[in-house]
Amino acid sequence: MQIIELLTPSYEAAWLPWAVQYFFLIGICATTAIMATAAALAPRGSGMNALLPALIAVLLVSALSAPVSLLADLHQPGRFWHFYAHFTPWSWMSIGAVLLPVFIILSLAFVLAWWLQRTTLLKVTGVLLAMSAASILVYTGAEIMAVRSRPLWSTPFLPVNLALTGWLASIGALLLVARWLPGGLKALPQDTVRKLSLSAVGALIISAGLWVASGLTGYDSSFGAAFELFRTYDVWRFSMFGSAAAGLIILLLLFAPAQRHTAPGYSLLIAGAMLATAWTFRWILFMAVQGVPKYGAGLYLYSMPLGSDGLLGMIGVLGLCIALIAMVSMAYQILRAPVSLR
Amino acid sequence: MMQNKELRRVPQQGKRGFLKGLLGLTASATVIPIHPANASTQPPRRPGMPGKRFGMLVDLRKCIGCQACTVSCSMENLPPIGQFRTTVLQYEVDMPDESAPAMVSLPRLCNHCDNPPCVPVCPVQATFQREDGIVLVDNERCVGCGYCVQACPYDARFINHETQTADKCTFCEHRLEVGLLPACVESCVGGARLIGDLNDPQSLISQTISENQGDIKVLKPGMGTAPHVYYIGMPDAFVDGIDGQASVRLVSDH
Repeated sequence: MQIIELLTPSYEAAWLPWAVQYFFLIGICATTAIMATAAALAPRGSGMNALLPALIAVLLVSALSAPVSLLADLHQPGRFWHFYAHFTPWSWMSIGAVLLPVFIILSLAFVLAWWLQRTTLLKVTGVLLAMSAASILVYTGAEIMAVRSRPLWSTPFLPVNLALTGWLASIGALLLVARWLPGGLKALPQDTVRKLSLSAVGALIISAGLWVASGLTGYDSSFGAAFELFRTYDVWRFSMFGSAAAGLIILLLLFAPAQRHTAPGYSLLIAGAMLATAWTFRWILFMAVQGVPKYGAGLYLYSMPLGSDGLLGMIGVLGLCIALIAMVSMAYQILRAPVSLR
Repeated sequence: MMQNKELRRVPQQGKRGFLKGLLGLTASATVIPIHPANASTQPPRRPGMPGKRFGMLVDLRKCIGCQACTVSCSMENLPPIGQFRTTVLQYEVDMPDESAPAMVSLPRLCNHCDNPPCVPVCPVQATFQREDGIVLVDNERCVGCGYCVQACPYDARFINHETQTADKCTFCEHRLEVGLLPACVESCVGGARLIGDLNDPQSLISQTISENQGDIKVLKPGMGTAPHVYYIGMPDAFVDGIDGQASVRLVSDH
């Protein structure tokens, strides 16, 4: 028996590309916050501690740009205050509306404490910030995982993979932004960056392996749903091979001698690969998965609008990030930011 | 297998017979409990029409796919062009034995589930369920986050392009309250759609459901949503989703 659809409506993506940008930036922001806390608590002169100025720059840029994307993903952004007027403790999104401003305020407080060189305040804020960052990783993951109608989202591996790819992207952002900060790439401790990168990639490989194993053993149904898509559609097969290839390329790039990692061109290549992988993961997770019918056959088409709910919006977020990076790096150079803690 | 042979012997049978055949092929058809209320994860319901629990019964044997319901719903509720609170999906079903292909028309609308996944996810409580089972959206409170659209396993919700808020079938509660039938029920030429109070054992819908108990199905029963739109004559292959060939899809302007 073969069923052929003759007449079905077109179901649109309810979450716009803004969601991709938000989850990309907030993933970078939360994981950078945790690394920045580790850097602030690390002994002075250690590799981790030397990363602090660059981590602060990434934290500031992502903390200012992420909420803009989130607001724009609402179809009624002017009603954002309804989140606070009608708090709904059983909805992850409502909980997130409380957790996010706390996290952003703590991020800014942490940056300020660093700028003013208040060591004790920095460490205390750092501990609070790391806890708040963990709450952001939990809420952003749980919010998507709670959607049982989409088998590809409804898996405990989703929050884990969002966090780990966020971590990968934040190391990429670090490598990208450091070149415009005082001291440039040479100020980055090569071994520490490489160790962090390898840990992130290693954790992602383990997580991917566990996901496959959980699917094969029947514990988790999301792998089965994904496998069905890989089997059926070229575009999904391409995305699977693409993900595997991206992981392999990053791994190969990382195995090069440590001193190459902070060479301008090479570090740009690694940074680009890490950022692109994390961004593409989110594009597939949100835009491609929304094209998988909940009931119907085949895939739904998504054609990106050129306006603010599509291409222009995404270019706008990129522009905002570029402007913020320029402002932060100028502030570092003109106002002479502290190189490290006293 | 017997049924398969019979189908082969009578290739020109009508649609009703075909559907019956399909139902017969899968004699282990899912039997649906009518009132499974597992609403522990649901926020409290708001007042509705006292004592009632509305539900709909769609008899696929009577649906001819004329889309009168689609048009009358659109005239009544005025969703933007290209967006629908209810519509009839249409399928061709080809059997391996070269008998004439059958047409299946499947009216779709909000299932007004007893355990609606769209309600608890709403971050501002703009979408809610009434005590009479009707799930509604307060579009003056809705922030248009689209979370409920994602959570609905039935694609029953959409973001209205004009109001930029979540929109869906309301069972025409504004008509029910003044004693009228929903627009889709009123206009159905074959009388395929029945709406009524499931709490009242004497209502036509309750009686029709009990008369056809073995044939009653809902969409995606495995999701545990306890849908309250019931179907008579739905082939098993349509219960959990379509495994088949997609239609030609037009790219939306939006």
